Amino acid sequence: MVVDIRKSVHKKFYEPQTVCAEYVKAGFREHLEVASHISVRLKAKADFIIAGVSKGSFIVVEMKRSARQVGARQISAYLRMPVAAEALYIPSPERQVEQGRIFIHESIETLPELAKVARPIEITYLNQELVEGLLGNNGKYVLGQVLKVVKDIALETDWPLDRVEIRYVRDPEVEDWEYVLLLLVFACDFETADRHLNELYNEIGVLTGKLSDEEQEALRRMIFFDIETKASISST
Amino acid sequence: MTSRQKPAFPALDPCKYLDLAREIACRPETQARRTAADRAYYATFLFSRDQLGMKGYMTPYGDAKDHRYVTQKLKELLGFLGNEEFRMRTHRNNVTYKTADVGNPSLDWMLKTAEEIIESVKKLPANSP
Repeated sequence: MVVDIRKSVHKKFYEPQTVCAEYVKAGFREHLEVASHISVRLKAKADFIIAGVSKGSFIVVEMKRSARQVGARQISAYLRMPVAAEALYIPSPERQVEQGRIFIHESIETLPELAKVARPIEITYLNQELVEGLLGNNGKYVLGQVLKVVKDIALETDWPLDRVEIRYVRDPEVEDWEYVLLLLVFACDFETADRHLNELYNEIGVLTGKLSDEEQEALRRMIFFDIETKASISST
Repeated sequence: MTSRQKPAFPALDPCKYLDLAREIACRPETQARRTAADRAYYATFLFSRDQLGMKGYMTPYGDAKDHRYVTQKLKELLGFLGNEEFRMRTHRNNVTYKTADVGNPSLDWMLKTAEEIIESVKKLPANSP
């Protein structure tokens, strides 16, 4: 089968469309067959590519241009599929080679394993200037170390962590209390996310032991953690 | 007030707020459940503040600044239980001030976390200067 990628329509993933489910399913499988025969390199140009179907759910590999990261998530309903099927964009292997790293090269069955090691964790700032101004050099170093711990544990233990929001907060109740909130946004239920937060506490405890007194003070006084859940999206 | 008059609000052991929270937590009305969550937080905060003061870890201001003081002291003394107290306060603000639907954490989480923090604060030894 030949797919002319130049004609591919690249649309926003979340753009709503209504398409007959059967038509889409057929197109979806067609694309899957193509996807299973090509190499997709890590230097991603697409925002996403459909890569597999499993147990009635859809596995979508997202390739984020800005982050140059690749990850997968399982979409448990047909909700997003019509857009995905129409907007399929398969990067050309010839143009996307980077250090010979092949991300997906065989069948779709390899995806869950790949997703485990490649799930992207988006880090977003709300008022980055205020965050950095509040933290100062010591605090910025600590925040960097904390984020590293978050990323490591999330990847190693396959957390359904969707993103981390770093927020500058001026407390609404206590005058002159400013701090940085790390909001961990999970794609799972609250109980699971809360368990992961407690796992993170343990790792942060280990990190704390490696910090200087000043850095520990910055962590204690200025950095707080909380969770948010998006249970509607099931994780891989 | 003369010495024989009974005060309108007699002295309180903050843990009694937790007893009250448990009592009304089983009621289905949202106002009861929100009040239970609110009281669970205040049981934790006030008990911690008083105990940390009595044991010589801090001198409470007796006003809103103590929220910050207690949270940071708990982080210092009990690690991330201080962060859990912070999360309880965030949720207390939500259930108390927002009249729209409020999601997780659950009331069970509030009660369980309150117990956990209170028990840990009880076990803290007196601070030797």
